Amino acid sequence: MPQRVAFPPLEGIALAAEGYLRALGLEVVAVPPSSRRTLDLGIAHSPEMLCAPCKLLFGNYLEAAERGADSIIMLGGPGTCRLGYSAALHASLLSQLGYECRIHTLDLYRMQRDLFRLTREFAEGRPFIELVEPIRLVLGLMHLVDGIESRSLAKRPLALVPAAVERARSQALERVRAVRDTHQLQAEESEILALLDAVGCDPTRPTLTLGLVGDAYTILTPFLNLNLERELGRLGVAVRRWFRLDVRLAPPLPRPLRHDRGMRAREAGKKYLGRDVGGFARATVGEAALMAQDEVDGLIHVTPFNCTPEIVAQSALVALQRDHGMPVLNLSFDEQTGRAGLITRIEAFVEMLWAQRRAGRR
Amino acid sequence: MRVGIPRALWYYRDCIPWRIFLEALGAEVVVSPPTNRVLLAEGTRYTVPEACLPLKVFCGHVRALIGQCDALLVPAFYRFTADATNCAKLIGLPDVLQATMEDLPPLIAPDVDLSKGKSGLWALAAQVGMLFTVNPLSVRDAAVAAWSARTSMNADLRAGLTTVPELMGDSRPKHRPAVREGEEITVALAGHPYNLYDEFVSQSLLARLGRLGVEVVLPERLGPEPAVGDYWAFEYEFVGVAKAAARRADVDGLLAVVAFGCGPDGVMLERVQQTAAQARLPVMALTLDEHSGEAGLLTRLEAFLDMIRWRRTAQSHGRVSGY
Repeated sequence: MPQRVAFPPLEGIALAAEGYLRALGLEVVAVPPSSRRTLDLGIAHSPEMLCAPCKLLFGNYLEAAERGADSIIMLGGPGTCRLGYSAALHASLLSQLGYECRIHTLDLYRMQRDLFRLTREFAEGRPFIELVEPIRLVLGLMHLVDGIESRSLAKRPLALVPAAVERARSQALERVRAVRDTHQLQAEESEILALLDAVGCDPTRPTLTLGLVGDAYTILTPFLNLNLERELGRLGVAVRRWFRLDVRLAPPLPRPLRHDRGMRAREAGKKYLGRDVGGFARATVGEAALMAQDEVDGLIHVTPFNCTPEIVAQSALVALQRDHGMPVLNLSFDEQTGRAGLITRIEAFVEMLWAQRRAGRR
Repeated sequence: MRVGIPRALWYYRDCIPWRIFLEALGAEVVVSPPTNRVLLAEGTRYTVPEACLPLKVFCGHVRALIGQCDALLVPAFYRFTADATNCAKLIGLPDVLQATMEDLPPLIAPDVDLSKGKSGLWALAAQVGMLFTVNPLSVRDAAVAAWSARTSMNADLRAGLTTVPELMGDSRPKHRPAVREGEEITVALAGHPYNLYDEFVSQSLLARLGRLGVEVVLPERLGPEPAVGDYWAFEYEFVGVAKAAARRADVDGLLAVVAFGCGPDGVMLERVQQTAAQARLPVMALTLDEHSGEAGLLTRLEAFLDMIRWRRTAQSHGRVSGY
C-alpha cells in the first residue's frame, strides 16, 4: 500500500527529503509553509514554556495530518533537547486528536543511521540495487539545495534589484521540486544554478560578512526568524549560514580520517564547550569558533526563547567574544517577536560593524 | 587542599556524600553561604540574560567561593538511566563557568553518568579521588563510605526520620499552630530540592506552610526513584513525585514548585498537572523567579488552602466536587 508521507516544511531540506520519498515510490503530502495558523495550532496544544520551534513543528505535523498524511517524519530523537521530549508528547497528542498517523522519528543526532533505518522501513523488501537511485538523488538534491542557498546568501547584498534574488531563488527551488530522477538532476543542475548566477550584481559594492549560528530550525524557518537573512541582505550583509546539509551528512568515517567541516568545527569549539549538551549547541559554538578565525566580521546567534542548549552556547560565546574580540549579536525569537524591534537591532549591529571597519579595527 | 562546594543545585541532594568522600581523602570542604540578595545579584552579572533562576543562583555561589578555595567541585551531570538526558545547563555547567568567569580556581569537573550502574560510580570516584591521592585503595574506601552514607541518608529521608533542611543544619524549632479537628490539610510538594530547600529562592515556602498549619509531605518521603523510560534525569523528582502523591489517600493537594526559565520543568509541568487531574487531586503550580513578591506567594497559598477546605466541606455535604 503506498503511504502518504509528510515531512515538515523546512524549505530546502524538505525539497530534498520529498524528492527522496518520491523516488522511493511514496506519495508525498504537500505540507503548507509555516504560518500564523500553524503557530496558533502549535501553541494551543503545547506547554506554555516550550520553545517556539517545537510549538511550530507540532503545528506542521497537525497540518500534515489534516491533509491526509498517514506517515509523518518527525524531527526528534532521545537526548537531543526538549525536542525529543516534545516529539514523544506530540506523537501521542496526534492520536488523541483522532489522527491515525505512523510517526517516524528522524534523530538529528544520528542522521545517517536514521536515514538508513527509514529507508529500510519505507522500502520494505526491495533489493538494495533499487535504492541506489533514490540515495544518489537525495545526495544530489541536498548538494543542489546547498548551492542555491549559498548563492542567494552571497548575492543578496550585491544585487542591483534585491527582489530579483528572491525571484530567482524561488524559481530555482520550484525547479528542484520538479526533479524526479538523477538524469533530470544532472541535466538541469547547472541550468538551475545559472538562474541565480544570472541575477544582476554590482561586485564592487562593499559588503560585510556575518556568520549565522544557533538553532537550525529557527534559522531555516523565515516565518519564525522574520526573514532575517533577507533583511540582512538588504543591509548589505553577506550571510554565512552554519547549517549545511552536506556537513550534517558527512560520511561516518573513523575519526582520524575525517577532515570535514563538522569535525574541524568540533575541534575548534572544544576550548569553549567541551561537552555535548544537546541541541545544536556544540555545532553552534564550533562553527562560531571556526568563523571567528577570520571568516566573518561578526556573528549573529539565533536562539529560540528559553532554548536550553542555546543558552549554554550563548554562555560559551561570551568566551569567544573575549578571545577573538568577535562582535556577537544575540537574537532570541518567540511567538511574540516583533519585526520593528528586530530591524532596529540588526541595523544598529551592522552600523556598528561598519564603524569598526572604517576605524580600521577589523 | 580546600575544595569549594557551591550551595546550589545538587548540593541539597549530594553534599553529604561528597563531603565524606573528599574529607576521607584529606581535603577540606568549603561551602558557600546561604543564598541572599547580593549573592544572586552577583550571579546574575555573570550569566546570560535568558539563564534560569537556578543557574543564576549557582553562579552567585561560585562567585562567593572565589578566593575561598583552591579548587571547585562542579560535576557535569548526564543521567541515571540509559536513554535519559539532562538539561543542557546541568551537563554544560563546568563549560558555562569556564566561559563566563576568568578568575576561576581549577575546576574538578567529573562527568557523572550512572546509567551503567556501579561502573559509572567507580569511574567517578577514580576520576575525582586520584586527584588527591595515588592510592587507589583509599579512594575505594572513601567511595564506599560516601555511598553507604548516601544510601542510609536516603533511607532515613524516605522513612521520615530526618529532612533535608535538618541534614543541612537547620535546627530551628518548627512551630505549627494548632488546627481544629477535621481541618488538617496535608499538601505534597513536587519539585527539585534546590528550589524547595533554598529558603531565599522558595521564599521560606516550608516555614510558611508550617505557619499556615499545613502538614507537608516532602518529595523524599514519597520516595520516587529514577526509572528506565524517563526522558529527563530528574524527572523522578517532579513527575515521579506527583505520581506517588496521587496514589496517597492522605494527601489533600499538590504544590508543584518550578523555577522560571527551567526548560525540563516547563514541559514536565503539564504531565504533573495531568497526573493530578486524573487522580482528582487539587494542584497548584508555583513559579519562582528573582522578582517574586512575598505577598503574591502568600495570597496564592492561602487561596489554594481555602479551595481545599471548601472542596472538603462540599464533599461532606454530599455535593459533587466541581473539580
